Amino acid sequence: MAAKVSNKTVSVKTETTRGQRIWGRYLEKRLSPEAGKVSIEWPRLITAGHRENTALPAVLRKAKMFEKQCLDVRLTIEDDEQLLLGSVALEPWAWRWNVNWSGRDWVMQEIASGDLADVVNEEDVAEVKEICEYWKDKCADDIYHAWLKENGWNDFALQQCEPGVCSANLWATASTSPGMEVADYEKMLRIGLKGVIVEVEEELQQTDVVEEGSVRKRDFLLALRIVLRASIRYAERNAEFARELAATATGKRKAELEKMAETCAWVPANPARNFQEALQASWFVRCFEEMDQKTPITTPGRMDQFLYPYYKKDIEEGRITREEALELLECYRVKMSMTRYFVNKLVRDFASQVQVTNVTIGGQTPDGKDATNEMSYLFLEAAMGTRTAHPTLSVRVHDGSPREFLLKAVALLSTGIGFPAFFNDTSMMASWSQWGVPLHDLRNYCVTGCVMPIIPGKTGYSGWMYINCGKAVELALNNGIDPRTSIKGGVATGTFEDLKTFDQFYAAYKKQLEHIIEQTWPKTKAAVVHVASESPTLFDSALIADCIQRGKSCMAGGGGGHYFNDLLLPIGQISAADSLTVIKKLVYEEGKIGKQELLKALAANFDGYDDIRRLCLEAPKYGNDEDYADAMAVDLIAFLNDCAANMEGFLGRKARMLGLSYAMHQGFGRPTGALPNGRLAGMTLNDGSVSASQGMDVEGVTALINSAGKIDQMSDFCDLMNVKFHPSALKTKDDQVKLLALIKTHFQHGSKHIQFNVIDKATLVDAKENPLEHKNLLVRVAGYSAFFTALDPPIQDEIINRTEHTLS
Amino acid sequence: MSRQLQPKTDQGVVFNIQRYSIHDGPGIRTTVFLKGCPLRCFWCQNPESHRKEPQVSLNSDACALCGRCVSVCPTDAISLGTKSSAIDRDKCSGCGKCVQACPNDARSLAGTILTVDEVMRQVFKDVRFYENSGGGVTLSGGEPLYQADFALSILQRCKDSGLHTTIETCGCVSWDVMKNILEYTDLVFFDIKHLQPARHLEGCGKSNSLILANAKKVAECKPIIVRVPLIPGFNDSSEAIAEIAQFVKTELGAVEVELLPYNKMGEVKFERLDKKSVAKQTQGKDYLEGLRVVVADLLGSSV
Repeated sequence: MAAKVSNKTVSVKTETTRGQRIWGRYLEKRLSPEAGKVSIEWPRLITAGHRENTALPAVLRKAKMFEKQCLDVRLTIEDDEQLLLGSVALEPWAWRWNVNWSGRDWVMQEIASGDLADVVNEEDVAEVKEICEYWKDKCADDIYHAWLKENGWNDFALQQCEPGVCSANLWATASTSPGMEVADYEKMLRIGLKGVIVEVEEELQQTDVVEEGSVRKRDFLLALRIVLRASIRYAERNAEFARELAATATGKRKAELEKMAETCAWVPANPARNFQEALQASWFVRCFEEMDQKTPITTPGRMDQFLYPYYKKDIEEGRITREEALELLECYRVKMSMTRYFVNKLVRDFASQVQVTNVTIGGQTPDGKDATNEMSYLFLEAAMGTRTAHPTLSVRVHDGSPREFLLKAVALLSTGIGFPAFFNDTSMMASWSQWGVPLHDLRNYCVTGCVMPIIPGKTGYSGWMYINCGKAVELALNNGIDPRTSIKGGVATGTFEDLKTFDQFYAAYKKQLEHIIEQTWPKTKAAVVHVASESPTLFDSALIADCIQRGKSCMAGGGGGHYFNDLLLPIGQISAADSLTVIKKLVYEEGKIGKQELLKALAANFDGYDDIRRLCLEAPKYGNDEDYADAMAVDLIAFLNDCAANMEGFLGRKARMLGLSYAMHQGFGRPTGALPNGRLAGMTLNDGSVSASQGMDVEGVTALINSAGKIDQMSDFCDLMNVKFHPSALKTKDDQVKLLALIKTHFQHGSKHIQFNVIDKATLVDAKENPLEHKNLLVRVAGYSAFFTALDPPIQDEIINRTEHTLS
Repeated sequence: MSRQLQPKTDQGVVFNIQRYSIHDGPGIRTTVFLKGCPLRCFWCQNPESHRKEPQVSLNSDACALCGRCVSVCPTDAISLGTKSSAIDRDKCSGCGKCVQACPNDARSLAGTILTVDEVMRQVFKDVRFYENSGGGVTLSGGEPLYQADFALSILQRCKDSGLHTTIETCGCVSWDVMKNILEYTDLVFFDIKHLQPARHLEGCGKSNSLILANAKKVAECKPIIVRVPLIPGFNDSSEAIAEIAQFVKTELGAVEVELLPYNKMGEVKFERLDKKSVAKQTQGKDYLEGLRVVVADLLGSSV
């Protein structure tokens, strides 16, 4: 998950930039009463597109729903200074609702309960209800859940966990969201959508109706043509819109609008001719992906690579200045920050914007040279200037990365914005090459979501399965029965008393995990199949290798020749490893806690068992460079890797483990009771996948990094390492140089990822009140740094107050 | 904790080992804080480092009067008051049993007896970080040279592995001790608190003559950075600071001077050790800038 962004701005210049002004005005609108509502126009158009085309096969109907939005959606420009056209947010801070996915049931419930009173406009309520009624038994969620029921799997309780199709209970989530691929932007800019239409038509001509496959292929190709033509029409409508605005505008703005009109009249239909056209076309792709109901996890990929040739040419031919290019990038940042996905209250509460967008910069070219260019620097500068949360930046680091570039990235991080994240080319490529991905493709990887490596235009992720490693501890302690609900969610592995040695207990724990995987994996696969047939990804499929030739969407195997992947996403693995350590040491080895005593303490959420909890908290924990506790995490994660490798992929896909927590450590934390590591019931599980449980790494950041280095990260797609820093530890250039050395050492250990949260005042205040949760917060006191919670209240106050001018 | 402090060179009393120290010398460092100090500066930020022996520190706000400490104390040094437990410092042996017994984290033990090997095991854990950042090991205190043989052994071991070494010293040790240590030291942070002998004696419990003499000798053979802790009402006048800067200029040559703003770190710690401290005001940003200008005017830009 992208790190939280402080709202405080760092003023680098006294004069504001265009991006800052636009973003400033947009932030102000957040407070207005009409802001932050569900935008009714999108579900209205999606519903109309569906209703008007019920006779068509699903794939063509989906294309028509896309077309309906392109042709009929109201055109807006959010700000009088904005230089890019095409809108995903029709009203300020509006929620975008893909009703054909899900929501019709919980929206009705939340309207009834009043939870949506501030989110749905009063005058829209009747229409929202009517839309919900229409989608009953038609939306993807309903279709999937009806199928689960038909299979006798209705125990798998419906719970909306994230946007997309998803089914979850307390111990696992089977889900898919279409669109976890990165379209081939480079190709789109090079040949234009008209060029892609030519490819589609050539394939159509060669595809006669002979048998079922060719009929379906024709349907798919026809659908792509509808979508591509509608996309071009949407851009043209925007050109006309800009021309109308230009007619009444004056001076500089008139010229800007005319240029914008000219740009949209040309791209994305035709090959981009300059930087503005390339960036505008790139932004349009995002709009089209929205209308295609792509997942909120969307990624343009390596923007510095595919935009640079256009920028370079413009600079060389004197068409643009560096400042003008920066201004356009800042406009793009604002555009990318406008989408919010409508999800249920549970998810709204813990993931406020519900979108993750990611731009990758730096790294290597397909032939192995350093890829950093002027555009890489401009992306860092745009984020420094216009401090929006999106898109987050991912910096690829390799031996040849320019030091100046990496230090600039650290300087951006030091402003407290929470990104960029850093990725290790060497380790990433070494592990991916094991799976037969050719080197020139590997060198071209980018990052989507939080830490998901993807090869643009080729790979993607389709099904993913979160499993709750914390709940599995509860199941192992209670013979497969969930103590919170008394539901038998696990497998009978014997009571705690029956398990005479720690090895027996650990074997029981592993069985619980395997059982969860066995139960959930088929449902994950089925979700992918149902989504791919009911609501295939169209726009991106036109720009993913081989989809046109195979006549299938990327999820349905169109990109199958290009290693589409399925995911095992363990949640709470470190909380679980620490819990296993406590059980091993205190119960089995030292006998300091009796088995029944531990069960009672956990059942009571440690209430009245302070001494037991204290023992649990003081036991060794992962993240302190202490082998006893680290070894458990190392072993558990190796086991999870094995589990993933044993999951049979389908359509030629591979399943692997990927370590990320998204917001699921909170989602799964809620129904998980107290754990032996001392964590209380309902609290979040560990975040990230190789970072420590919150506050449990007390030996400093080098110790945490050494612990992570012990975990074999070669067998998974990627891992996630979160580190908290106080701004005072990153204040000077010298501090930043040292942080870079820290990152490089982390990568020498073979780790793949690291990101930093530079903590603001609010966190410090919270840390003072809840010290147990912030035991690892490092602050600079005077000539040295110290752990914040180890300081005394007056000094804490001093630092809290000092922070204000650190950040201002 | 049961180990007794022996007059041996292979072990000493350490009150903290801080990894990822980034403000105690070049690069990423591990700072080892040795216990014991010849000075008694009234503003000391680490009063728990004064005595060489391990000491129990008590946070009375966290004490719940449960009495567990009383029952485990082997020397009957603990009694229960109305709001908090209390320690009879004459009876306390610093064994740390009460710290283990306390369920509320009200007690902590300042100082652990460690062997050189044990210290080096911690130090070696971060060698890769030193290598990548040009960092190394810093000995601090207390006064690290107060446990001269222990400090020397650690520095020698660091040098055996080619690690960069730094000491943070108050300079109040015999030149013989200092000379031996310098052989294994790459950089010295040298504290100068006041130029007036009488004021120094008053504020720190000792005269400054040995300190200033050592400063000159150190500057002749090792890279040195002079640190001045700015103590309100004691040495933070522009006159006092100018005097120090003048000394540096004429006696030490072109060396860097760091002015360290005062913070209240030590005040609470004094209370926890049942000692008195005088609360001080912190200096404002503009005032600090003024003092920096004073030094910069005399020394050029090396502040």
